[in-house]
Amino acid sequence: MHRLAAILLTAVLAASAIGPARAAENVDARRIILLLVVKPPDENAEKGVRSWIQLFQNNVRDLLSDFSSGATRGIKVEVATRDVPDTPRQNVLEASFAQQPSLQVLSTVGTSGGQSTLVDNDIYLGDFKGSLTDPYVHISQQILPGQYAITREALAAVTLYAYAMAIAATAPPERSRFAVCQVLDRANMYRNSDLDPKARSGLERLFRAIPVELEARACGGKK
Amino acid sequence: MWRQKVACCISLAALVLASMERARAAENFAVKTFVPTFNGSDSLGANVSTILALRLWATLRPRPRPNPNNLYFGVGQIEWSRRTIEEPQAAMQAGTETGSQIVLWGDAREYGPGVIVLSNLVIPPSEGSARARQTWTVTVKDASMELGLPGAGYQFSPLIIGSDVVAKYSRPNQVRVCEAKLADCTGELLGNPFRADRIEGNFAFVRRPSGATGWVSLPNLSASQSEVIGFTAALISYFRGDFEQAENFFSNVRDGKPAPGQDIREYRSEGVVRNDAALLAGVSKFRRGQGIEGLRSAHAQNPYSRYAVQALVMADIALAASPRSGDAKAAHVKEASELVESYRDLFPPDDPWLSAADRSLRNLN
Repeated sequence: MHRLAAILLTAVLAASAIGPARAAENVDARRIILLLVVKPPDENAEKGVRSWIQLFQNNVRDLLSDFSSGATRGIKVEVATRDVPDTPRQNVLEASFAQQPSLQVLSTVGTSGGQSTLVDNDIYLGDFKGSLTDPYVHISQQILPGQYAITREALAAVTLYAYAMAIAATAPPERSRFAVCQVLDRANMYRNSDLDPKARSGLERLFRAIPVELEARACGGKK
Repeated sequence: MWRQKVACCISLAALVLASMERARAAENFAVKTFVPTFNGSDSLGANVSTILALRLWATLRPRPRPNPNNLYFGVGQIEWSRRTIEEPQAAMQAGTETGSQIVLWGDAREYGPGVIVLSNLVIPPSEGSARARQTWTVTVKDASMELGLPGAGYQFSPLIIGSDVVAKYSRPNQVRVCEAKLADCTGELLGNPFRADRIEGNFAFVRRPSGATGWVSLPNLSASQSEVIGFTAALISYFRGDFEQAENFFSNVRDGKPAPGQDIREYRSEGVVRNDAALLAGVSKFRRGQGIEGLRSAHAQNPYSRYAVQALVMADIALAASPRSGDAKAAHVKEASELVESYRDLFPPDDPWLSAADRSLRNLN
C-alpha cells in the first residue's frame, strides 16, 4: 500500500535526563508484600529466583499504578524481601503477616530442574482472604520465557484480589464500592487467561471467590 | 554499553476522519506516540523498540480507501528516542514533556534460559483539544455525558524472543539499509534523519537526505508483537477519529488475530488488554454509526465493568435522542434507565457522569 505520508526522522542524540518522578502521594496506609526467600541450592536456581523477584516487584508496581485515585489513594504497596534458611512453615508466614501492615506474605522456594528453575510460592493472604475459606494460595512456576505470561497473570490475580480486600477494609462500602469492584473486575479478567492446568488448579478456589465478592457488592448491578 | 544510533522518527501522515460523528474538517491536530529506547543490558532493547516504532508507523494510514467524504484525521506522529524509561510515572512524565498522547515503553531482559521483552503503554493526562480527542461526548439539550478511556496504562503480553533474533539484535547497529528486500545485508546503518516512504510486507523503503534509498527489514519478533502493535495502533486511530480502523484493530486484539501485514500465528492477548480492546471496539463501532450491538456484547461479556455500562447507556441515549429513532426511542430510554438504576451504587452521588445521564434521560422524557 502506497504511503503518501511524509516521514521525518530526526535523532535525539542526547539522552534526556529523566526528571524526578512525580512526588509520592501523601498516603494514609502502607501495605507490604513480603517475600520470604529460601536460599536457592545452586547458582542457576539463585539466578532464576533473583530474576523472578525483580520481575515480580516491577509487575506489582505496574499492576497497581492504575489504581491511584479515590478510595485507593490511601494504600501504597511495597514489595520487601527477606532471606530465610529453610522453607517457612505456615506459622512463620502468619507471624510475619502480623508483624507489619501486610498485603500478603509469600514463601519463595527455588529449585533447579534441568535447564530451568522451579519457583514454588505459598501465599498467605491473612486478613484479606475475603470469601476464601483457606487464606493460602499455592503457585508453582518454571522460570522459562514461554511460562512468563502465566506466572505474571497468576500472581496478578492473587495480588489484585488481596488489594481489593484491603481497600474494602479501609473505607466504608459507600465510599469504596466502586474501587473494590474495579480491582476485583481486573482480577476476574485473568480467569479466562491461558493458564496451564497446574496454575489453574492452584488458583481454582481464588477464581471462585472473585465472582462471589463481585456479587456480594452488586458490582454487576442490582438485579 | 553500545546503544544503537537509530533515528528518532516522527512520522507525519495527513489522514482523514471516517466516522458518523461530525468531521473536524478544518482542524489541524497531531496525535503523537512516544517510543523511547527499551531498556536492556545490550542492544536488544534498542533494536526491538526501533522495529516496533517502524511497525507502528506502518499502521498510520493517510486516508480511508475509498474516501468519498474527503475526511481528515489530522497528523499521526511516532517519535523514537534514545532516552530510556524505567517506570510508569517516568513514562507519564516523558509523555507530558514531549506532548505525546501515548507512550510505549519497556525493556528486554533475561528470564531463565531465554530472553523476554516486556512492553507497556501509558496514556498521560491531557488537557484541551488533546483531552477532547480521547473523550466521547453525548449531549442531549443541556446535559453532556463524557467518557474517556477504560484505563490509563497497560502491560502487554511478553514478547518471547527466539534465540536467532536475540543473537542478531543483541549486537549494536543491526538495523541496516539494504539495496533489496533482504533480511540481512552489510549495507549502511540506518542513520538519521531519514524518511520512510512506504512499507511492503516486512520491509520499509527509506530515503536519506543524500538521496540514497534502500530497504530496511522489519522482522517478526514474536507472535505477541501483534498485540502490542495492534492495540497501540488502535488507540492512535481512536484518538484521531479514525473509528473504522480503530474498530478493526481493537477487534483483532480482542480476537487474537494478527495485526495487518504480519505473518504471525494467532495469539491470546493479556486479560486486561483483551477486555478493554473489546470495549473500545464496541465504542468505535458505535461512533462510526455501525450500531449498538458491539457494546451490548461487551457488557454481556463483562457485566462488572462500569465503563461498559456507561458506554452502553450513552449509546442508548444517543440513539434515543436521534431524530430518526422513531419507535425505538422508548426501548433505548428504557434500557438506559434500567442500567443507570441498576448500577447507581457504583457511582458517588455527585458523580458528574451520573448527573448528566440523569438529566439526559429527563430531557428525553
